[in-house]
Amino acid sequence: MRAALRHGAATGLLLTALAACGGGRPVEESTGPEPSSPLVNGCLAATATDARGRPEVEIRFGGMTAYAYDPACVTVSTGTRLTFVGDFVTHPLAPGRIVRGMPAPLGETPIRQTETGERASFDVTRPGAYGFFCDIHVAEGMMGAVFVEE
Amino acid sequence: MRRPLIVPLLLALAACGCADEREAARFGRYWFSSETGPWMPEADLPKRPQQRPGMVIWELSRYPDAAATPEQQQAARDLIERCFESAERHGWFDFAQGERDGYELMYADDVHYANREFILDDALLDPERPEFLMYYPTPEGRKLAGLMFLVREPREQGPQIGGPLTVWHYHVWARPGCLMENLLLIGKADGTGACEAGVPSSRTPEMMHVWLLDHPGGPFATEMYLDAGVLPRLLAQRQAERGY
Repeated sequence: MRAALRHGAATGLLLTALAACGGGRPVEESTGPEPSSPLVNGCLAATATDARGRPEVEIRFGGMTAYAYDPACVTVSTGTRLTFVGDFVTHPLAPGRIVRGMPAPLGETPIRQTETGERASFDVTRPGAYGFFCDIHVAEGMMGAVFVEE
Repeated sequence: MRRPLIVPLLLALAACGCADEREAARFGRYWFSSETGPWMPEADLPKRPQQRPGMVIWELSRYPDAAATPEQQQAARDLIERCFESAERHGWFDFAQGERDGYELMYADDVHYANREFILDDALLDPERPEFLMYYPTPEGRKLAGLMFLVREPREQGPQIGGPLTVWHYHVWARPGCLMENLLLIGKADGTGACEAGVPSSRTPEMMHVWLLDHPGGPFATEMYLDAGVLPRLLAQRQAERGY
């Protein structure tokens, strides 16, 4: 789903098509997600990976999933331990939402900035939608969200 | 030691009729995969690093929103084809051969393999001496997805031999990186902004990708992200069309 959101307007351009539009991939219309929007960092709760009821959920990043989180969009239950697994030096984890290509002011979140190590866990105790992104590769779309339900 | 290898560049510039492009004003735009900003004069781009996020990307062009001429389209096609030919002749579609030829994974990166000799030589946009190879991890091992060219000096402007098709870009870090010869990222600066090795800098030199597969964003796309579900299809397509 995330890929579809991110690449919905990218249709395998050929060089001639590029020439016609003056270069660069076609720019998607800004989705303009505001903090109240159901779209969080390209994720919708309705289409996120359903991991409700699991005591622990792992989100892997980097390495085999270059420039991406796997899963990027996930729904969990309160009380779940969320564990990010990957190289935080290469992909520093940052909490928050991306709005129009820039981080929005940070609200309450269980996810903490993490810049070292290869494993970090956060307990999610309150319902809500919490965005996260790679502080270095967010421009490449390396971001995601966890939706927490009762 | 730098080698005088600018002849390929000069030939390419002459071929595309853009030898005077250095005189043309440039424009830049904030590049974000799904939220790319408008073109603005290069002089108006931010002079200081952003506070957040940790890294942003700016694209540069002398041809904002222009259509490529037939000559520029041909020059772009020639560049792509020369990159294919070079990669095949050097055996770089085999990751092990790339490593044998001196390509090493760049600091804090997943896919950019840098050749320090080529970074320090005097070649510019030379498919025989690409500064980077981009190998993506797949279940079948690392696969060559493209080349990346770097300019020779920290503030050198990338030549747009394909006009508006060949857009260069650079990165700006909120916290300085440490660059070998002010060109190649080899570490992060400490809290005081100092580097154990290399030169602290908040900005990379200019660079440009040439994709050796049918990248959804086009053959020179700035975008590095290739969906794990899309990459195998693109590699299979290339295998069917070119045999590697």
